[in-house]
Amino acid sequence: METLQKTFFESYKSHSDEIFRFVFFKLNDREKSKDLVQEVFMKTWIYITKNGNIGNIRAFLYKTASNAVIDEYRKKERGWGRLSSLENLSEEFGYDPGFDDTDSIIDKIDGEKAMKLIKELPEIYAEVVFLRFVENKSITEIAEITNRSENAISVQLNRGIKKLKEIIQDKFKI
Amino acid sequence: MINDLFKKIKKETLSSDEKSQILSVLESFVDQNPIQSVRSPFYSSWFIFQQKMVVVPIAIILVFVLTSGTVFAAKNSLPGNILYPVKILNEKVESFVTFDTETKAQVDASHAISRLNEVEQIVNSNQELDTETRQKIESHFTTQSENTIKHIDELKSKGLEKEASKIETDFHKSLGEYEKTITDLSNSTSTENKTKKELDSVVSNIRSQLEKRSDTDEDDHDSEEQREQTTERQRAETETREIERTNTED
Repeated sequence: METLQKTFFESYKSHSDEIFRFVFFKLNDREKSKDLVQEVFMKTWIYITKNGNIGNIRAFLYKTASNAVIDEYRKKERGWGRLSSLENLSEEFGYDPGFDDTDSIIDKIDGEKAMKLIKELPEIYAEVVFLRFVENKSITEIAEITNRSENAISVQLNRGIKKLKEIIQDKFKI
Repeated sequence: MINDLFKKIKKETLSSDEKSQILSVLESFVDQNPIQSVRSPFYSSWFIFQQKMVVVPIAIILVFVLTSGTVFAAKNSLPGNILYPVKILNEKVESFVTFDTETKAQVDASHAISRLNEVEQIVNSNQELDTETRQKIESHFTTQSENTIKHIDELKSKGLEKEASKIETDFHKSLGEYEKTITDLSNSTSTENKTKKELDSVVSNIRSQLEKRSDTDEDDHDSEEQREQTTERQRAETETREIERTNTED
């Protein structure tokens, strides 16, 4: 019993940041994301109390977080996370396209704005790009978290990265 | 270049304060929800029976002794308190583990009313009701009210009109009482006080829930009117037939 508790708290220490980032990426609301992280770990603990050890707790946390985000979307029925239009991006990023180069653009934006940039991708691509390149998940892990096939994930990753480059080039006229 | 973008995102983390805050909530939660005995496929049913005979009463006593303080504390917590999320999650669990629709409706209704009671408690204790707190309370209140209505509708669709009607009336009555209480609180609050605006928002949310009920009431009212009209028409027809019969006899 103590081992399960220990494993649970170790999981919190190891994975709370990435689960927070995952939820924050989807909701664009820091406070709400903190609440959901707490809820995800509470639900995970309830699952452990009833069923014992979870084989792959990291994947379980992601799935629970993903479901919690879906519940939140339904509850609010508002388009969380969709960024203001591309046209407003420059204004939002405090960037004037005519006078900058690529590196300084990236230097200027913070993590939250970088997230918003990726969220310009269609949602199906945004999620896999985020999980692969921000959270360093393997294709197999992403397939497990998203309930899609590994082949589909590979295709979506390639298309997502291609599209992201286009967005950045188009946006900042690089 | 794209890699730099990803590196920026990786820096988005919880602060150490935020992490500790969530951790302490989780510690309370874990204490409050101890591990249940996990079944093993190797246990024979007799062994499980024997084990349950001994373990269950001990577990009940232990859970009661160890957790009653936290449960009580959480039950009385208000938004902003570290145990408040535990209270809300407990309510969700309570609703989730209730299978009977009638009880589910009652449980959700009582949770929704608890939210309004929290508003009253905050204002009566001279605390400011800020926008964030009000939004948090309202969000739970709306969900719980809507769940109550959903369960009431389910009861009606199952033909349990009487049970549905009782819960609906009680819920409606409690909402009405809190509408009055919170309106009074708002009226007694100075217009310069930010709390007043938040209280007015809560009142308007209660009214919108009451209107949802009123829609159904209106339907009921319509059908009642229709029933009255039918009865009147039947009475008139009977009287006409009676007059016709009398005329024929004459």
